[in-house]
Amino acid sequence: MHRLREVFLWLGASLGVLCIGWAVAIFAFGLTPLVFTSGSMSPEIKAGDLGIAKTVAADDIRVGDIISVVNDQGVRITHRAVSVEPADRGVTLVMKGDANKQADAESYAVADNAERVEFSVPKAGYLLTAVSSPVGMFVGGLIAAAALFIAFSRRSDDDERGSTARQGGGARKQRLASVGRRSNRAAERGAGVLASGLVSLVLIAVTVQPTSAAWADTAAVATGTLNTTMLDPGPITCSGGGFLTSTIELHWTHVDARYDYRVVTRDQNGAELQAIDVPGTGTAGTTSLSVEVSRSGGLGLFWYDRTATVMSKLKSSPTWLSTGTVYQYREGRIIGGSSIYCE
Amino acid sequence: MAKHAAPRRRATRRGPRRRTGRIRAFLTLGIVLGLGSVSTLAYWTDTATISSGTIQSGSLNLQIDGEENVSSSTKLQIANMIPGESVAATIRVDRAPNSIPFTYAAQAVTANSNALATALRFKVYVGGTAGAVTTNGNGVRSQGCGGTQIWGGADGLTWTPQAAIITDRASALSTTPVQAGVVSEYLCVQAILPSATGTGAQSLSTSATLTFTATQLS
Repeated sequence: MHRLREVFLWLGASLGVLCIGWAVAIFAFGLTPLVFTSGSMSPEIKAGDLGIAKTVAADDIRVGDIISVVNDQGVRITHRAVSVEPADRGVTLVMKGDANKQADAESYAVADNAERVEFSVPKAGYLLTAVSSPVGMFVGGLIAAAALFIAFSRRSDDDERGSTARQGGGARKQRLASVGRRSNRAAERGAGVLASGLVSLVLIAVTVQPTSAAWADTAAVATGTLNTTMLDPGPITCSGGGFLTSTIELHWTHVDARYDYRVVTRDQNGAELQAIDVPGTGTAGTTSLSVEVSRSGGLGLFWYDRTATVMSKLKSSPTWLSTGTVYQYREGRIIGGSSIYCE
Repeated sequence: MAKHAAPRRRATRRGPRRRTGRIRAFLTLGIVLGLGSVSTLAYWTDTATISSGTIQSGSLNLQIDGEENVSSSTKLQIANMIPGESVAATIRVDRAPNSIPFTYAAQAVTANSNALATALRFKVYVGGTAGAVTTNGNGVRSQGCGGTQIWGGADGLTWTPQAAIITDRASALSTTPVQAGVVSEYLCVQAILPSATGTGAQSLSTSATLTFTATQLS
């Protein structure tokens, strides 16, 4: 437990010295830490990396340098200089992110000096963002407070040790035992503080992590369906026909202004008998269209099933036909006299 | 003497250690000092919200019609399409409130590669919306686009396979500073079934997907 306490104090002290050293170095060398929050300079510098920049005079800026400037909108842009043109005062820079396809839309006037990125530390930006957040500051303060508490709370222990020394051997043993318990408790408190500090740091790291990559955003549109189904004529009705008649008439409603119609009749074997084109005239949806189908003739003593298929046909592109609506009718034949019947 | 020697030894050993303990404790305070200097010295570069100091993601936000993913059954939808007909749809590209400026690109691809998908021709316009549907004497439907054509040429081009219909589009979305409101640009897409399309494209269906990608300027 005593060892844990020592470790905590040493750790706190080294962290403190590190932080002080960092601050001194930044001031002394005129450096500027830059946290890259987007991936426009990837792959060299990714989002979340820490860049260390040094102030350079405008005249010292060369093409290829990674320069950090503040644009007209007050946004700090850190990109690679692709063109450096002398201006009345200083230079005018055109810059481009390594990962961007094109140079920045605006050019930047650098009058006196700018920051040039000297090197970068991968992922360190996350650490910096985490520790400088209010939670990070609080945890840092907590560690410092805990260190102070542990270091100064020892005084009472020492006083007790002093008094123990002046007492007899038997009592001293008891006292030492209680001191041991006491310092155990202090160390446990320290360990608790340390543990909670570590937990907080892990939590910060976890909450910062997901914000890393998205410097491009996507959205998608799925369109509706385009289809090229052709409408078939609706139900087909039949009129005429009968014993010793030679024709029937088929009727249907004109379905679409874009369509003409083709009627194909077939015999019982599917062989085509007739093909008749019917123009689609009148108002689609209301006008009734009709076609006359005549009997096929020939000899025999039988009843035959026939079909008439009414197909929609494009007015503008005659090659397109719908599958068609099929109507079944009959032809009957006795020697010398033939008939056609509606079904 | 042995009784007294013990505490003295302890005192001489403990004294300096107690001091180093306190020194170390004070050094620990450097954390607070150091962190304070970090937050005042560090610049968060390439973000519109410098003061927050977060490594940002959400502040680059492109949306279509105010959504991340639009699945519309009516956009560019047409039934019983015949050769010579066309249909158009308006697509509004939004830069969401507080999003930083960006340029954008778009890819379009048909959902399948059937004879209809390969027969269809597409044109893309910016700065305009889809017009009204008109029909000729034969009832053949046409729908056009306003704005300036940026893709597809005179006869339109296929979206089978995938086509890059917009590349590095610089617009109001890339020039307007960050603001609390939405910044929009209208696109219009026209699908044409050429009048010479053969019967192979008949009785088929297809749809298309357009994917937009915003790229941060800075």
